[in-house]
Amino acid sequence: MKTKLISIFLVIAFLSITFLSSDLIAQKKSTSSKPIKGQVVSLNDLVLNGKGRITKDQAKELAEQGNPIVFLSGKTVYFVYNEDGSFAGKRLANYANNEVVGIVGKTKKVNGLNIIIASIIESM
Amino acid sequence: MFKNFKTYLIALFGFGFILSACTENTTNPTDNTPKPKPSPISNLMATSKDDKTVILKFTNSPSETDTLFKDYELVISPGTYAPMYFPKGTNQVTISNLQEGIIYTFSIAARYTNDSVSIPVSISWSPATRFVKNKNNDAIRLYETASDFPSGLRLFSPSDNAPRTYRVVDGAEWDLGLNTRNNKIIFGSATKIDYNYPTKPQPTQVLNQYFEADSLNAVFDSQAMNAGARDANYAERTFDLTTVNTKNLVFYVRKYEPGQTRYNYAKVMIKKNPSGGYLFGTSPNRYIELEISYQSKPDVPYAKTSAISQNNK
Repeated sequence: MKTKLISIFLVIAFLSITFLSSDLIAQKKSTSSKPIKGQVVSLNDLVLNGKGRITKDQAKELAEQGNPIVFLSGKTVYFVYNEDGSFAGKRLANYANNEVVGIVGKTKKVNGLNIIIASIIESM
Repeated sequence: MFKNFKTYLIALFGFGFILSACTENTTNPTDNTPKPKPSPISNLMATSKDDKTVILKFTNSPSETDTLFKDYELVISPGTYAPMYFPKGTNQVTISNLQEGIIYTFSIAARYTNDSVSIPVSISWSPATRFVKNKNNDAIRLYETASDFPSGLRLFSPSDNAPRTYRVVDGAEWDLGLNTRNNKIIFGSATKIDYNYPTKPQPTQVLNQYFEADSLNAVFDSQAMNAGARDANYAERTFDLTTVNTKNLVFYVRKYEPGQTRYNYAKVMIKKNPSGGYLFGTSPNRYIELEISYQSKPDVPYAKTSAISQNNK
């Protein structure tokens, strides 16, 4: 029963990501030349401990293990993608030591998830 | 009798002289003939590839066409470097395993198979750290004035062990900066760039001429960054990049790092956009992209003085 539930979850997760990726390209996006300012965080740590801040080394290790590294701006969590449609967690991990990071790109909301397709990621 | 004896002595002396003269000629007939000697190399120049590597470039010895030509010998000092040998036709050599901050003397001589050697040609140089990325493993970029992203550069941030960019609010950290107001692309000493800094930047001097190059590796020099007249040609100044559109531009820069009373030297290369000009991206977040060769030890302008000797003619 447990195995079946995990399998169903993985299939749903895979389909969600697939549709999400295609939606990123197909749907209308909001673009601003002003950077969204925030910090690089670990989604796991944010959810479990309410903080999320990690060092660059920790972030890189987590990203290598497939854990989501995301962008926290105010109280909004963004999943950041590269312009080629790939998830930008590994790229984002390099900025984890910066107090403030700015991202310019197209933003949108997909199934309740906040997405940035980043054209520029830079320390501020 | 006496007269005959005197004649006898003169004859004996004369005979002895003839004998000795003949002996000398037959035993060492070529002692005074000099061995052929190769001509030296010329135009020896150097560049720092990274913090452990120097590249030398030179014009080959004209004696390479001689059948006696053997090879080139490179001697490095100080240190315990074994001489290195290169075949004819070699005009560029990469030397690794050096140490940043040490001023090395590199001497190259041409050799003949008859053991004769040209007068060596020497140059003094030091490796320097190369930065092509910032602390975030991304390209080093300065953004246009209208952008919210940083327009100022600190050549070397000790806490990051890399160059670091800052916004105007952190103007005290700036060494160099970019200003794109009035359709210009002003790059140079932060102190000479018109921003409303909360705290004035550190004075940073730029040589009065820049160099065009395909890459920093291609910026060979035969003299120190402060050699001769150059030393007086550094000042806090800016350049307008809209007036050039050729290749990558390399600027020679120096500054006192905090607490130092001797200059740290750097070469800063601004990359050319293949589509034209030096700005990349789209407004209002256009940017220039940099590579930096930074000498972390003060008072080592790659080559301490112009120590070249090319006068074997």
